[in-house]
Amino acid sequence: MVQLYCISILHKGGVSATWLKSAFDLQKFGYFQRGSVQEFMTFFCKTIVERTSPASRQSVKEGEYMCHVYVRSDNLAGVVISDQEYPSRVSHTLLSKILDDFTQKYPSNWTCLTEKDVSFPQLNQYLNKYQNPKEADAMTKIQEDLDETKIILHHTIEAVLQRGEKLDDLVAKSEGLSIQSKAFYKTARKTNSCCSF
Amino acid sequence: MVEQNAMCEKILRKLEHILSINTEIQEFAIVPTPEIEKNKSPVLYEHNCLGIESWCKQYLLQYTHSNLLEARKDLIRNSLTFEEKKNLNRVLIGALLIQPNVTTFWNMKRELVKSDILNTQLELDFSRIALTYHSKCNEIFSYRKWLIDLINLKQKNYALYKNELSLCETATEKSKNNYHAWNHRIWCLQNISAQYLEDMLISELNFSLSWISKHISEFSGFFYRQVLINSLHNLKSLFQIQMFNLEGILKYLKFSTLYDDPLYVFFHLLGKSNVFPIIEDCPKFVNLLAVLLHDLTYISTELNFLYCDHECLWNYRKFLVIHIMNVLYEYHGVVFHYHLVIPSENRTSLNEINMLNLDIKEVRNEIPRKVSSSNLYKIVIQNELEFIESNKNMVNILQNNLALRYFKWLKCSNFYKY
Repeated sequence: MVQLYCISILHKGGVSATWLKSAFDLQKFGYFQRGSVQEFMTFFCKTIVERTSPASRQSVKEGEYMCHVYVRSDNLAGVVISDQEYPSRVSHTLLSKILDDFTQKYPSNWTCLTEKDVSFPQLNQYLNKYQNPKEADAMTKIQEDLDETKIILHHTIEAVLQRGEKLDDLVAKSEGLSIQSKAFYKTARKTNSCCSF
Repeated sequence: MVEQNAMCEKILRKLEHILSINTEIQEFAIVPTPEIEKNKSPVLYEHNCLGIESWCKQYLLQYTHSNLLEARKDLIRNSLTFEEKKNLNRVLIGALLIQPNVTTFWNMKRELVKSDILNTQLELDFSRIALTYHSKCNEIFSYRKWLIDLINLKQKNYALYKNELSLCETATEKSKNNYHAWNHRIWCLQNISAQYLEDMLISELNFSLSWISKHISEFSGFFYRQVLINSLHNLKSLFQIQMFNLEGILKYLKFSTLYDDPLYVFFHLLGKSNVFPIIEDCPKFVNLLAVLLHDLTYISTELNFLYCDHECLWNYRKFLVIHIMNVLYEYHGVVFHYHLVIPSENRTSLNEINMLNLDIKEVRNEIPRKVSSSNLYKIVIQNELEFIESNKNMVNILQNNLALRYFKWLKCSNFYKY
């Protein structure tokens, strides 16, 4: 299935990353799952931005999901979560584009911004428009100079984590995840069917 | 134990109650929840969505299974009262929502439908809800088939099948490679009355096109399209060809013709046949070609550039080329045998090519003159070669390999004389 689930913009600070804005499209998930899935996606965006060095791009494959991250040299970061069939090239071009747009609206001083202050409705528009990658292709053709060889591809989340870190521990420790989401994570790990986040 | 039974009974009553007052339940789910912490009902019900918390699943399963297996004998002997049968349905609802792959329980439902305890329409509704959580469950599909056959005994109903189609769509969106859902769809196609078939084929062709563009690496969608294309053979009337943007196709194939009328265009493409002198008489050639050429230009080419290295697209391309050739042969009254010929120096790669389990023969048949001199043959082969060439120049190694493999196939299949 060709589907975008989430786009987030974060700021990578010294210790941890903070959210500036996110947009979700979780219609594909069951009603009772959506909350947990959203929590996990946000958790995952933060985790991966914290583990990506400035001025680099990464793509992480996990189960049937793909996560693309781009941290600019000025520490502004964007994350796209899609499914595996969504063309990576389009995702990465989208990331450059939204970060550029965001900088136009909020040129600097991202450390003082919180998610509440930011009004950036374009993010939802992008999410809708890019569900169909063909729509976006006109734009991607212009940006074909995107150097795909420089994007680091990981085949699991574990590969992104620093030495000694384990995803299970991170999930257990996280404060952003509710008890229900943690239970959901455990079942998902066990059955490995509905959601591998 | 007694306490648990009371709890299960309570949960079942609640489920039954919700299902009876709200016919618009959108979905059912078992929600993973840690062990009971508060004293509250495990039945979740919000925004037309129904769910139960996962911890009560084991108790419910135990309770319903032991109850149902006992009641089954009485049901067969027909010694149950009306009230008891009603109660039985409540237990069945719980058991089947949680675990719908037990044929015995569906059979008990069938018994209840036959004895008029249950309404067929409401049962269609119930099985739809069960399907939202277990979208790959064959028992649910077969129960629905049974219900539809039952309803159709009284009156054939087109809307019923329409409904099934949208149900299948949701099921295939929910889980990948959903064999049973696609089979169910094909079953609808085969069972619909002939008068609706054409309408349905057209709408299904459109549906499968948009489905394929959204699920590019799932072969199920392509397979379904192949089934649709094969059913075009039996169509008695001519399609509205405008649907397929004939002009665009011809432009893409770099074929210029003086004619405007699609029939003449196809005549020009196919050449003059001794067997079918008047093309109007056999709509099947025109219908098939319109769809095949459309797919060749749209699905297999346009999508191929958007989604690199998807073998599905290449396999589908083979199907299209084989079928175009088949149409050409049949039109000119020549028997068409599809087989691969492996050149002797390439014998080692035999296994690679024989993945499709095709009949490999030594003989190298000549392409009949009538076929090879037709415009269609020339432009299709030319187009394939250009397509391969444009893919070979890509940076992507996998795509490159797929193109090479396709080229090899084209040579072995005897369509292309080198």
